[in-house]
Amino acid sequence: MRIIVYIILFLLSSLFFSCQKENEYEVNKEKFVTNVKTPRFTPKIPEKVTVNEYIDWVSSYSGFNDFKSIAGINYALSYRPAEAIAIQKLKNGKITKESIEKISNELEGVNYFVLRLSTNDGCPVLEKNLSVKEEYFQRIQYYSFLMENDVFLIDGADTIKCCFYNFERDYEVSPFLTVTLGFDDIAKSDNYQFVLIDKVFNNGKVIFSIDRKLQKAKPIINLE
Amino acid sequence: MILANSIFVSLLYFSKEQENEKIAFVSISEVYDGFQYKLELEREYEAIKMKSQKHLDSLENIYNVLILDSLDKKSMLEAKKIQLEYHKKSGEFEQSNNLVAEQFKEQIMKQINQYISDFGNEYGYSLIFGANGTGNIMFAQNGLDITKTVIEYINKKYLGK
Repeated sequence: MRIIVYIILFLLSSLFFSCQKENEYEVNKEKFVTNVKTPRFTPKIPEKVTVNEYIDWVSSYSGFNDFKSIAGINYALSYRPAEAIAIQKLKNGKITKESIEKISNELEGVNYFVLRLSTNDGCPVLEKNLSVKEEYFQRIQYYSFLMENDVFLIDGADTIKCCFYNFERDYEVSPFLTVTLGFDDIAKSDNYQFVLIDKVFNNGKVIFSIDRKLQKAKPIINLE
Repeated sequence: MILANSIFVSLLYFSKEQENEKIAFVSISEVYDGFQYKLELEREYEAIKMKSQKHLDSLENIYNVLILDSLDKKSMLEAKKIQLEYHKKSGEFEQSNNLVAEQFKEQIMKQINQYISDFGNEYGYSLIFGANGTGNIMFAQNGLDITKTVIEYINKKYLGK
């Protein structure tokens, strides 16, 4: 009889704790989802990499990439070193040390960034929280021609406007809104800020702090 | 025996629950006032207000000159025009300044809410209360007030650090 009581008690206790675990998951589910959405970047700088490894590293290195989320809008900023742009340009041709160097030298003096906007719920940025249908076209107009006035770098006491701006119109094929920007590199201080004033969602000033030392990281690209 | 086991299980459950829960509170007004972006927008708003005030002041000066220096009919009519423009512009400025103030407030609150939520997730808080001085929090132990830490955190976050 006593053994039966102990077995029942054991089963009850197990059931109780399994329910508790389930509740903990329920409580932390949102946190888990949030963490999945926030990208994790690596601070590691490899010594030697292949071309493909280099491209992967550029998009995952914490010195080149940063992420911010404000009121359901995600802002992902990626610095594009000249070598990465050169490889991208050469992807259909022969990638050699000389050809990378040649294109890199042409790009010298300008810092290139890719800014990607997305929403937490997967809704395309151009369609998020539209009050009237016309707003969709106003947004296209804004991102195509006017946003460049609301993006700048602050280096020391200088404000640097972009010298190159391109909005990638992809007709909502990808969940991102992608903008490529170029700024003259005046290299005044060790740290500078990338500033975007989000006028579309009225999220205000979105600032990314950039460490110039981390930006200079250059693994050797193995081209054999 | 069954009772003892149930009590033991219950105690274990509640102690575990309490261990997991991290609760704190912040003073909303202090966080709002200490947020760097709020201070920046406050300065920007003052500049906008001053610009519109300067415009109104110049209209007022023209009006005063017209009224005091000459008493002919033409000047009186001109003064009347200026007076009307002054009232029109004054209303327009008030409306647009209120709109700007509302937009700025929304931007500040959006960022504060986001960064406090980031803080809570990063440091594993289950709940962060906002004390507004109207009695929603009547008493809390000293350690539960994380206002200063939060102000420091949100300012760092704002600057992208």
